Amino acid sequence: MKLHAFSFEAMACANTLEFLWPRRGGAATAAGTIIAEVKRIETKYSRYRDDSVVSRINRAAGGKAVRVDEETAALLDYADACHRQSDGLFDVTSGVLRRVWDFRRAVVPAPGRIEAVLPLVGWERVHWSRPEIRLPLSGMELDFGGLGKEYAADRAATVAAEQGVAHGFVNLGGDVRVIGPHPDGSPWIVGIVHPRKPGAVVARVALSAGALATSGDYERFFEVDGRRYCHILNPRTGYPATGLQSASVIAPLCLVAGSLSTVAMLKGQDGCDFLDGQSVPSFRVDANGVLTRHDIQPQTSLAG
Amino acid sequence: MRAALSLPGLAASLHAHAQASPEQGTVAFKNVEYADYQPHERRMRLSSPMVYWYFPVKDAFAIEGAAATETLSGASPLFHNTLSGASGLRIHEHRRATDIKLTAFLRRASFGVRAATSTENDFESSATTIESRISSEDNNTTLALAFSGQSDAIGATGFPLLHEARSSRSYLVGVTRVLTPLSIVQSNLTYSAGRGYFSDPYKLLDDRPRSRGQFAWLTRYNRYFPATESALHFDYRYYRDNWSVQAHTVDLKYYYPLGDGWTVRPRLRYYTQSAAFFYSNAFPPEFPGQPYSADQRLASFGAVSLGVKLVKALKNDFSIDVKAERYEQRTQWRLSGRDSLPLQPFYAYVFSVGMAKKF
Repeated sequence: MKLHAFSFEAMACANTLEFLWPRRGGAATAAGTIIAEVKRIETKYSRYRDDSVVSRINRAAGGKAVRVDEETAALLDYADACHRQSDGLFDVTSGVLRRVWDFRRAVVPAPGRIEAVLPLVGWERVHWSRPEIRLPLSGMELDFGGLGKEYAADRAATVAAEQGVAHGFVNLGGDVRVIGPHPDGSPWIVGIVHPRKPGAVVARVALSAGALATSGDYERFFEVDGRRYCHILNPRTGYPATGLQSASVIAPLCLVAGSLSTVAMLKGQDGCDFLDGQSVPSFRVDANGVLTRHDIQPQTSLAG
Repeated sequence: MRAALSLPGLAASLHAHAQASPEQGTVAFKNVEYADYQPHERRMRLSSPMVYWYFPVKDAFAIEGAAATETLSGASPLFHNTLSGASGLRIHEHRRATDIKLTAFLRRASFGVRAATSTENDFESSATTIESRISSEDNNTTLALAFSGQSDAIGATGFPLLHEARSSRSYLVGVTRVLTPLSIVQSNLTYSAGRGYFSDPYKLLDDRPRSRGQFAWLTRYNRYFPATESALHFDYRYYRDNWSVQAHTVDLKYYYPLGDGWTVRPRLRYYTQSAAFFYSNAFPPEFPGQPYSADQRLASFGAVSLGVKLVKALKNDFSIDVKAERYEQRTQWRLSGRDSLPLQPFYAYVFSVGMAKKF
């Protein structure tokens, strides 16, 4: 069996798909089907496309309820559960905060501007009654940014298995979902990116099933007066998360790994306790650059 | 501090022109491209243009200098199939290096002073060297002596509290002896003693001893074959340090003129080292509080370089050269060393294009 590697762009990320293919031909066709599933989800939930489900819901904000399909309903149910279990920190309505946080211009919003948009943030204000959703205030927005990529990784793994792929993984912008281990059962080795040192890793994790997702304060950020403002925004304060440089979670589903790592970032210093309380292995880099880990079972991990 | 100069095949290139004849001036330019790989993944790329110049002043002095910049991108050679991280990280590093040397020539001796600096965003290094060469009455034996002091300041991007330093002193004694009109043998002993911070701030739990003593013995034999006008350079280098790293290098270069100003120079190099006593690929460290590193450069391995260089001499003392080299490193190619888990093979390619003008 030969290892096939494919690189593709989707969801504004560089992505890779690698798998062992048992037959002579057909690997590219299988990869095409898997990548098409990722692009389908991108199109369906992109807030940059007028015809996306998200845009349809957002256009109706302040107006009538919008009826959604089964897949979207399942994601909204998941977002609802995350919101409850994170004391409101995981919030698919927090995207409007980006109107005041401009990471390109790198300026801290003027006093009062954050407070002005905070009333538009809050999943608890949303009327979600399966299969209908209504954003009560004009200007409110849903944003699947914290869900879509992770969900797409899980779906890609499912489609890959349907295509006959048994050994491989998919990596969507740093969120990794294993399709299956090497043929001898040995794991894939996933390096966790160093949050401050480009090119270095803080840990290596052996992953034979499930997913590893990482959130960090280094994806989009700016610094003013020595303080770092990252793109992970707290829906209650309107300010960027502080206290952790990065959080990585291993979970059976990439969707779960991604949301737990995001919530940990939002909880800041309490994020480690939060992750310890979850029944998942995790790796955290605190504000001083110190790595701590929480294992539920012995994990093979090697230092970089 | 990616220690770009420790990349295989680059360490010597900055000074490769340093053996220019004292009577002729030289200006040279070279661009080096480097990329290394592990199976299925490109790891690190380096691009480095450099200039070198040498000006004699009335046969009594010479002033020479070199300057290089390096741009580094990609991941360091670690062992994983893929990476998990917040997306959007771009990897770029810059290094600037300058080197200047003044040499005074007496009847049978020369004295030189050299100052070199290297600057990266998280690493600064400066070195001063004094050296002397003294030849025997018949000019068949030359004694070389050098002393060098170096001091480095080490920081780390993202770790504002890290301010470390190290310093070292190096001593060199060498003898070059003309054996026959067609062969020369050279033997150099170097000893270097360093103190301070040798750990890699970006590697997890990396904790190396704060002193390092390094000893190297280089023996070089050059033989000229008049029938073909070709020359063979054979180098053997023995190295050991007090971290229990022992290394052997055999380097063979053959210069063969093809006519019409062309020279081809194939090269074969074999390198092997044993592991440092504190190297381990177990994580976390088995003995907390003891020195520890999982840096593969401290593991035991063997490596083979194969390369070819083509030089074309043009009119008016102008020449151009191209070089291609492939480096491959494997655990099982080591001559000796502690048993450790085999590392994944590691490959590197070096391509360079250079031009030089003598006057």
